[in-house]
Amino acid sequence: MMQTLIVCEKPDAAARVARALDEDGDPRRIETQGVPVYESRNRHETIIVCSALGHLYAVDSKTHTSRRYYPVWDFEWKPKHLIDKKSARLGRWIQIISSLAEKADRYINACDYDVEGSLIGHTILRYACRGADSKAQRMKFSTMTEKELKSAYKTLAPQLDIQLVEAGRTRHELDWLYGINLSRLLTESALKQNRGYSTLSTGRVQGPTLKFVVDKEEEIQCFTPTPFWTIDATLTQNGQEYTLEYEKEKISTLAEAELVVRDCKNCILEVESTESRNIQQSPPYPFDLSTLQSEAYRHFGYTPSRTLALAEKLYLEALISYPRTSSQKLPPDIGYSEILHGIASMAQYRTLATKLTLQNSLHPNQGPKDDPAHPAVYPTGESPKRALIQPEANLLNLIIKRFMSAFAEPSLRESSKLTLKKDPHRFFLRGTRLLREGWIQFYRPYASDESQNLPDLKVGDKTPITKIQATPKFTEPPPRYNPSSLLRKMEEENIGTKATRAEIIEILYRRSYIKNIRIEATPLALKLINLLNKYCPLIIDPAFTANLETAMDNIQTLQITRSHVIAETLDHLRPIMLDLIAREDEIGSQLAEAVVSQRIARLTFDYPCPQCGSKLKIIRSRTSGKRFIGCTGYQNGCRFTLPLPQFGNLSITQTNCKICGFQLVQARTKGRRPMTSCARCYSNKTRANATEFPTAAAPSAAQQATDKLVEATSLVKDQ
Amino acid sequence: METEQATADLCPVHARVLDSVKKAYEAWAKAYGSLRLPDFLQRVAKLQGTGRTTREIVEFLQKNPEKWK
Repeated sequence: MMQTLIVCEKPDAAARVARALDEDGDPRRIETQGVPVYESRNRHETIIVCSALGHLYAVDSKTHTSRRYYPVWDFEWKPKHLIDKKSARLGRWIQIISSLAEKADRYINACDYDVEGSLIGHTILRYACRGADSKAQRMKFSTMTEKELKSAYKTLAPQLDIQLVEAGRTRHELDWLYGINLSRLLTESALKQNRGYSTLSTGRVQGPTLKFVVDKEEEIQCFTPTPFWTIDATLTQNGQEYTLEYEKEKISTLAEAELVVRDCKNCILEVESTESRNIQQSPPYPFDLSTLQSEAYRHFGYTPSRTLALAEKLYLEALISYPRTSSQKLPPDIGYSEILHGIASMAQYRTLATKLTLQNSLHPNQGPKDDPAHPAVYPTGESPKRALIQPEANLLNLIIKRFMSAFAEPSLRESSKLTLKKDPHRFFLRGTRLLREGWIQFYRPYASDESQNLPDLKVGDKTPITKIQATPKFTEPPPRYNPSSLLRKMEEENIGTKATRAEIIEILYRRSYIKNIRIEATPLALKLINLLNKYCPLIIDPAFTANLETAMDNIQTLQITRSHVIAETLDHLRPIMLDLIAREDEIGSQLAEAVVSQRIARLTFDYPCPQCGSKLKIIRSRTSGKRFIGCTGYQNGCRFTLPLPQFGNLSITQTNCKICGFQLVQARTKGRRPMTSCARCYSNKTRANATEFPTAAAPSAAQQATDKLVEATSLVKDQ
Repeated sequence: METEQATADLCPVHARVLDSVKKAYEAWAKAYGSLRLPDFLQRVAKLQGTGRTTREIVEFLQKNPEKWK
């Protein structure tokens, strides 16, 4: 009997594919050395479904094995477990896949259908399956439903998508060349100053992204407010108060503002005109990944990386389609009606989904963005087989409602404006009323349906102003980026990919280049960007990175070759590296200084010790290894301590507790929502109650006496 | 590459901020009709929206009023 080997991207995906392709829907699970493999059978063949764990192969130096050597120009693809100690278990996966490949007659790449998935499958088939990439077939699907998987298996592409593979290879090789060379240079040059180790990194996408934050930070730090005035006026009609809008939004001089108030105080306003128009608002476009991330941040506060992780989980459970998509289009072949019937089978959507199924025809409102590989994110209509955790349920609800609203009719809103005069001044009253709900009823509570009624006034009517004053205000600095708006900026500037942008932002947090949800650049980031701007500005130029992105897109469309792009990169990077190496000492001394001062600042609270007024610091106990807050006035007899969370990277935020005023501490753990808490309130609470989450009990005075105030970076790194 | 001129007392960034503080003073003086420089500096220093670098320049000017010219 013929034997087929299918390579999937993740174990969960392998399980689903195996179940879909097995005649009885019950494949045999064989686990060898912790590596799960599935055996599915049908009348004609045995199908072995194995999986990767993301990338099993990665780029590494061909000749230099030292992780500290630079510059490096020669590279090759190697098993990841030989490059990174943390990936040691991947060796077993490669070994098992290799042994399975020996018995196979046919090979299929069933990894996610995008650049990364194509590359993951390709490297496995090429290196672990000894050149099977040349004869392998490609299984393409956008959802993990049984129906689609079966259909994808029946309609296999005869060969691998080589253009996607080439584009993926180039991206990894370019990122490696830039990342390894620049990051090693930065880290090593700072290390050579003998002031402690700190990983400093930059890269093709990381550098320009950090520059966006640093530019914004500089704009905020260099901001000087200027005064202006607004006119706040109201009128009362039938016992209801209405806020008037003065014709000038901002008045730049006090004299003019006072003149308006003087002229209009206790005056009678006459209605000069009334305007009313109906505005039709089309339904929102179906979700592409970045809009989904942005909307999830807006409504639930989920960071882009968290949204992606949740969406991938929902995808692997066949609840939604593939989330890493740029498309805002829903092609008819996804089966609108079937999906809506599926949604209607869930009690909470029954009424709304049924309304749509009763429509004569179904036409979604589609957006302009497209993706050749996948449609927009949509629900499959399948009900969850387990109780979803709240964030998963929230995201699924958002996706289902967005999908339904795309098929609904436009909403109709009446917008009205009354113009009232007291010559030479004009005031406006604006109102809005929903005439037809349309898609809004399907997208509640994520769409606003607020109405603002207007008083019953006609042209020529007169009404007194009840209150008027000039309010002094000052211009504000530009708003900071948050993870969602930074991701949007990356997308606008065309740097990174839909799949990598969220991870890049996470790296910036991990490297302590940025902090807080309203993103602030740290002094280290300011120094780094300042140095890169001085010595190699092109590296952090978004336009340069965007050009490389375009070059990689052109590889996919066969307009340019991988070797051409790599050769150009080497020509560009070599002189930059040689120049930087010549200035290594200068760069290193400046970076080391920034690293040391950041290390101290990261561990020191602005809030003084409530007992003695000295500085409070994060300290790790030498005896227990636990972290706690201690007072630097310890030598003078102060014994003030507070407990701290014992997991994640800790950072001291600039936000103060609303209850006690103490500075909040944030614990960040990869893939989890950052936890912000007040150590002081927690301490007070735990004294009253039993402990709820793992924190270190503050050490006794005797124990603290044996602990030294250690201020190494490792203090706040617990991963 | 763009180059910026540092002054004898200030780095390029602070020199640039000094210029923008001078421009802001003009806007403030026009807004209020008239305003003494020390009052302007005192008020800017107290505002929440004032940036850190601007605050440093304001403090520098409060200590060294002769640098205004």
